[in-house]
Amino acid sequence: MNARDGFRSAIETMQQSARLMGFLPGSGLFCDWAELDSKFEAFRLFQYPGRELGLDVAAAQLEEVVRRALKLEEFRAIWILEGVGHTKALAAGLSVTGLLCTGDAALLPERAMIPLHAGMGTAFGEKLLAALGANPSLAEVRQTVDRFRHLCRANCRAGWEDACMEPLGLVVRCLYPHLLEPVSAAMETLDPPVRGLFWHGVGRSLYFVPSNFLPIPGAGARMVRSATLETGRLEDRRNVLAGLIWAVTLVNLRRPSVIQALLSAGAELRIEPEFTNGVASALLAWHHMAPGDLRYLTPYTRPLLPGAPAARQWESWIETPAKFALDRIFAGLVLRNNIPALYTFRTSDKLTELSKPDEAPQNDG
Amino acid sequence: MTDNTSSFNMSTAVRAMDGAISRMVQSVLSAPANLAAELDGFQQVRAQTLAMLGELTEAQAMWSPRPGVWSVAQIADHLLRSEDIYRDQFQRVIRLSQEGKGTSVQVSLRDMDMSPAIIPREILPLFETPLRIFNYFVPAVLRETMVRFRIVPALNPKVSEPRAGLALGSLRESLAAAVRATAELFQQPLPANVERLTIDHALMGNNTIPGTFRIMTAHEERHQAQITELRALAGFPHAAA
Repeated sequence: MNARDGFRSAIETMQQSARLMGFLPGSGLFCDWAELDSKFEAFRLFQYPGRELGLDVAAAQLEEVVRRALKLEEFRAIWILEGVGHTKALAAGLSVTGLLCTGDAALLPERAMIPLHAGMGTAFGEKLLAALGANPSLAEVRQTVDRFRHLCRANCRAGWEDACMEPLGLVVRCLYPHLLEPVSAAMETLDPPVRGLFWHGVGRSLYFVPSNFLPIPGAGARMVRSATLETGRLEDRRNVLAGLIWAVTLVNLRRPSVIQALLSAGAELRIEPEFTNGVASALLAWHHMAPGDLRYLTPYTRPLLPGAPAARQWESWIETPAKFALDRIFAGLVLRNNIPALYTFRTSDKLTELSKPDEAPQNDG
Repeated sequence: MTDNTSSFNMSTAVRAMDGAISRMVQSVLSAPANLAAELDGFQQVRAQTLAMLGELTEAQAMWSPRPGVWSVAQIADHLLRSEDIYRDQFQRVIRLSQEGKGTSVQVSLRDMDMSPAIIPREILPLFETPLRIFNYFVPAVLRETMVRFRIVPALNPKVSEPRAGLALGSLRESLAAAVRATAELFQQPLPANVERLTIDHALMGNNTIPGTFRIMTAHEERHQAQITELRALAGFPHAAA
């Protein structure tokens, strides 16, 4: 057994312990064990996709791996697929091209694209940043970010660049937080819209960083409050918050009560647009990845029981925007190949605009 | 919410702690090295070295801040000689496997006498066995980290000591030719177990060929940082206008 296998055993033990703790009367006073269980599960499936699929992901044909993953229960399949994208890109060299866009990979089902691109971008970011050294110059950071962009573009499907680039923020915030500002500045210099993606990725990472990992009482509200301090620029902050809420929603998709518990912190901070965007985008992403599922999606489009805490806020921040997004935005985004637009904070109006066909050019005379 | 930059007061200590813990977890989670990817990674790092050398004049490449400190040219020659040593080890272990004589070559501290600076080179062979035993318990990732960053001052092996009479142009050509030769070695018919063949060194541990490429890459990155530091020194010659 190597260190990696040993760590997997440790995670499995911790996950089992979290499940058991959830059954003990009064144990909820110390921690939301079910939320911790969901976090461990997402992390474990992402890190060890081969174990779940019963094959060597790095060596096997991507189509076979994806086919097997998509046969599994949908919630598990998406984290496994993200891990597959990660493993495949880690196993490839830095001069690789066409990982998700050439040969048989070009025929992979659309529903696997979000997790595969996210995993691939995460791996590219990890590999490139690891080679940067402890105190890189701004020129070196810019060169690395540029290489990252080119690598993403050379391997993603047309139109899916954003889905591949966004995880750079996650990698930097988790592993190299001292590089947040230089990488953000480099992204803006090279391609200003990409800066928003970067901070969205930073927001997603906040749900997994060690300081926020344990869902002890009050941790959720503290996490949202500290997210607002992650960066000083308004536009970046909006992306951080939307990314964070996205991650909380998706990891805890099976338990809407987790996102419900963050509503009061959201109201206190007056972050309705960011909160709403994070939830709606995560639900649209889920709908794209699991088109046949209604079991997990439906609770978000229904009102809470009368008298439930924050019932009115739930209706205006979650239920109504979720229904609108699923009914009025989703199909158009798919049709326009604009699903990766979900990886940046956007108002509902902007997302609606992106889901509509381009207007026909007006004729003169 | 307002755009008030003065409210930005994120605790850098918390971030640093997050980063340190996450990096530690990541190092444990690192997937086993893969030959094609690691060779590719080494080639990319070499391309960066060549680009760095391409920015220098002859005078800059030969400059040293004081006696005993390597110039950029000496660093480049050390990289060249190191790669030659590793390529020779790869050839030996591949040949060994093809002849059915084994799957690992032992490299003694007499053959390759690198060491932590605290151990004098003269008495290093006495540490051969204890170091091998000690290394059994050191994770590969820790060794790589120590090679990549100068956490522990180290002495290079004598066999990779820079030579006299260096010239920037020929060094660049030799470094480019060396990495091509290394890549060509793996384009020839290879034993089926090539990824499991190992090079066993008392200090560097028992590494597979992909694992050794990781060490080579980390080593070259360490010296790239050294070149960057040299160039940042006050006395570094200006390029001719």
